[in-house]
Amino acid sequence: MGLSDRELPPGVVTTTVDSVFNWARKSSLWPMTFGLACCAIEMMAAGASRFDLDRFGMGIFRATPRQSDLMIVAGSVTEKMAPLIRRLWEQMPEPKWCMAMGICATSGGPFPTYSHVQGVDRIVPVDVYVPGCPPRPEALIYGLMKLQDKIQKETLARKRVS
Amino acid sequence: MSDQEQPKPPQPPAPPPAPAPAAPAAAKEKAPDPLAAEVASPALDRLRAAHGTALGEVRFWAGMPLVEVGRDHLVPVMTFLRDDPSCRFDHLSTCFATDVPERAEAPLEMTYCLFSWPTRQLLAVKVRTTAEAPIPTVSGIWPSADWNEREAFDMVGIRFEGHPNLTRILLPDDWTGHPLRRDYPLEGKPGDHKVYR
Repeated sequence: MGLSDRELPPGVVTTTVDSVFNWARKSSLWPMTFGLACCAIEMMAAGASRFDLDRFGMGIFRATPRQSDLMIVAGSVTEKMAPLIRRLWEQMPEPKWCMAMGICATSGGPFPTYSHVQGVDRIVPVDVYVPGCPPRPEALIYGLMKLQDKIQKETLARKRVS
Repeated sequence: MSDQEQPKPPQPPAPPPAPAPAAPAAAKEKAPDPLAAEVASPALDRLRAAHGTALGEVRFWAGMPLVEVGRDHLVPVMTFLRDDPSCRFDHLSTCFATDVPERAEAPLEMTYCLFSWPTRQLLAVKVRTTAEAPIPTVSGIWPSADWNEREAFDMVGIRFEGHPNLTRILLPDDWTGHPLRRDYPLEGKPGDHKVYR
């Protein structure tokens, strides 16, 4: 006897728990206020009135990792900064996601040097990589929409690996 | 002080015949560099009178005397430059380190750029050393030298004797080596890049 055999009152729809949770999570991603270099300027522009991340429920940049869902690594990561980024990531509660914004965070970019981390995925697991130097706000928003697609495909039945 | 930085003499648009290009080049070598011209410097005169034996080579660049000083004479010379009434170099604009490995006997060099607000003079002092021999600190004369000397220690590896806190300032505390040495690989040594996952 499935739900479909019953007559449901008007206004009631059926769905899965996964869909509801994923919809709620992706529609209210709170990023961390956390910029490392010039990419952060584009990230600020994306959050301001012209590009308006609030349209996606992402405009609330939290000033603490304990209230954040999303870490946007915006800029080049130095070896001295790396343990601090790792600590911030570990302070964020699950579920959490990470984005590498720009080629510095993605692969070290134009700094193949002794002092730069050659890709932030050596430090934290990255969900979405956004190329660009720096990426325009449109590119960042596109990457965030890709992250939303990724979140919608997750399931509660399996623990996320992070 | 390369020749490329000085303004080139105006050339006629039509190139002269074949032997002509060699002639201006020879003339260019003989012509004194206008930027390296000697200038009058009351501070340098006073310094020569008081500490003449401590001074090495004296050169000029862009109206500023560059004085080479031995390691042992650095603190007396610097104290004199700060306190003498006709010098009064109260402002250490910057000091920085260089590594010249071709100069095997003293590859490392510390340059102090001084400026005097009361007498409006510029002067640069250079000290040469090796990786092992320390230079006396001038942070007791100008407190702003503290962090500059820490940076020189961190990046180039010059030791400063008597510095209050000679620790790394830019690189992580557990770093080994000095990356702005010429023999340091740009991409870093094995172990410079850590993986935290």
